[in-house]
Amino acid sequence: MTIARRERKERVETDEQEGLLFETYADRVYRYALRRVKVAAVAEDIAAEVFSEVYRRPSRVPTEAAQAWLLGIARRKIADYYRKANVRSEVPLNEAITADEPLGFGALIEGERQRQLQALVNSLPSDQREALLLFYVEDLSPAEIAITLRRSRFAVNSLLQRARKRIYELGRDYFDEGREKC
Amino acid sequence: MLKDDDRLRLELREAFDVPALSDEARQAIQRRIRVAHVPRRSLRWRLVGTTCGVLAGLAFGAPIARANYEGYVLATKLRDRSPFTVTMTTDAAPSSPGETIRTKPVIATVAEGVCIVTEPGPGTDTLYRYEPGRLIQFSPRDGKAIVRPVDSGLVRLLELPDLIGEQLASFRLMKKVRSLGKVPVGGRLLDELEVEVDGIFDRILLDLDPQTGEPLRMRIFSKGGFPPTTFDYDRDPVKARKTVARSTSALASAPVVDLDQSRRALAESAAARVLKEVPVGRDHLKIFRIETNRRGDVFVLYTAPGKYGGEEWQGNWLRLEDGQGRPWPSDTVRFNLSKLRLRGRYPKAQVFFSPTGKPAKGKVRLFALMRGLAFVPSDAVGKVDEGDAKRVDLGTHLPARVSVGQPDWAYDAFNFSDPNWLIANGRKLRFLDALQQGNNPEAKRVGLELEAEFPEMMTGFFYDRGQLSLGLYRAFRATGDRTAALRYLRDAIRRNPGPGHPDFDRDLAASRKREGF
Repeated sequence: MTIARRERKERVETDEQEGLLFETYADRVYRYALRRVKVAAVAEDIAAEVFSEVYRRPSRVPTEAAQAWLLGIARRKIADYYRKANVRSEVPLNEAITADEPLGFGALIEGERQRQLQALVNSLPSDQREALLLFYVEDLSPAEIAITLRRSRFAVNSLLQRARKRIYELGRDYFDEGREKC
Repeated sequence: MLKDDDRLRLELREAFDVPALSDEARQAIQRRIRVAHVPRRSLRWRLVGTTCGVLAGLAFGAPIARANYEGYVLATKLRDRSPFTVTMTTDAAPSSPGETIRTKPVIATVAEGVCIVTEPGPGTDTLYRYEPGRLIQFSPRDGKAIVRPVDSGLVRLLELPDLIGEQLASFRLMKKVRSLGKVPVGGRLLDELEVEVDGIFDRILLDLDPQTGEPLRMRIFSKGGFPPTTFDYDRDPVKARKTVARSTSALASAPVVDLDQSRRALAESAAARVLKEVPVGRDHLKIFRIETNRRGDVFVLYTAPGKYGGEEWQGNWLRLEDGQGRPWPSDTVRFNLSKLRLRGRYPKAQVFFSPTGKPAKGKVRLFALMRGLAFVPSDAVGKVDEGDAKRVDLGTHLPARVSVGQPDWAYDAFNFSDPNWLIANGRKLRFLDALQQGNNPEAKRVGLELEAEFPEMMTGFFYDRGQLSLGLYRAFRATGDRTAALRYLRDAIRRNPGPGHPDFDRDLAASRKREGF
């Protein structure tokens, strides 16, 4: 096989792999970004940048922990976004003025509870918060979180343990109320 | 019963749930990746390309490479980040094949998927091109141009007339433009764009003629320390009027009026007026309207019976309607407001929330909207009786505070040119000297500008005096200086000092003592 043919074959294989990665993980990366930046268009930007990175250096993607690796890149892109743009806390105008359907009282209460929980999570130190969300919301294993956060597995376990302890302490009322509901 | 850990997982997922990636967004991302993705070329092709370039350079005196829309792609393919010469053509553009937009050799470099094309020597005319699939800006004065691939976010911009593009480009060299869709402003649907300049995002509102698509007005709301700018087109672009701050230092030195304080005071006085009008001995308040916003806040519009009677009041049950006269909320919770009572001159209310007469759990936040002003009973939350009912003491309304988050209705009544809207929704006002530049450069005149800050929205924008009306405008017109306008607002605040002000607190305490509270 000539060098050119081998290169072409490798390229086709790489393209297929990259396409598969995008199909499998685009939604997760996008939602991960959206949870943090709150603006859909920015989350799309970040997802595009993450997968551009994949295309640029496909050999760096660890096949056994691709999702964790992608989220790690997304995490750094999000940090770049906030750092570069000096982004202020703001509600996009188009979202702010979109009228919701009238809410029932049950939905109001549920919304209130969700806001309480969000506030609780946001009150955690950033590394604990990140570990907690990756574990419970993104459904990553501690080993995968270690790749995303570039920490050791033991450090991640410790972070998770402290995060759990702290959130149960801070949100005692919240969780007691929830137990009654159950 | 769920285990704690499982419940935490479930609740966290619900609380942090976000919409999935739409098909449209997925395709847009794929397109962008495809454009940014540069296939790896074999060594053989790299050698061929380099040899051709060198030979062409030797033959024609300067290396020439044919570049398609992806002039930068060609460059990136060569993996050469040093300057080289290209001829920009559009022969690969799907909509206008073969059209040459630039035949003059320019220098191009590649950085992060963007081709920076530099003129050999500055001083030539600026050239802007907007075409389907791409945006090209040549700005010789700055010594560079940018070719950007078009994604879905740029579509709206590309549909706009060139004039706007020119002005955007001349305003500053932008890196990224994104359409945020339509927004209702003053009863019109405007196009909202977001432009990134050096990492700072500006917002642009475009008012286009629905018949012709021609621009009527463009406003640029800047956050980057640049003065916001308004372009009025009046259907004739030559008559565009540009308003600029006289100096950026004016921003720092301009006097500021705290509108939160002013609004609090006005809300207080409105509340006091309504409560005063409740006849002694009557035992009902009339609830006109209840609404909830997206945050779940409840808004109640109430007044005394017989004064502002309306059809909404039907016995013990309040019939609620939406804007189209349909019952609202149709299939959710109805509010039983039968237990409203007055005690003395201050109303005492028990508000029951129950679809079937049974109690409902949860906190209730009771707001009142009166005459377009929102105030929040500071301690209504938490005053919930154990048992069947939520009891809210309206007598505690007087020490009210203004909601910092604005209710949805405030956005619906979006009117930048109305000082009343400003006072109801803005947080701070600032007055600035400014220059208005008309058709004739000689006719520059100094005007007065008003900058307003809004919570969670935009940081500010200007008004020229022609757009102001009512009290503020009259104050301007009378004297032509900003002192009068400031005095106008300060007097309003002084007449109605809000909570926290010594006079207000003293008066309130005396009033409560008189009433036996």
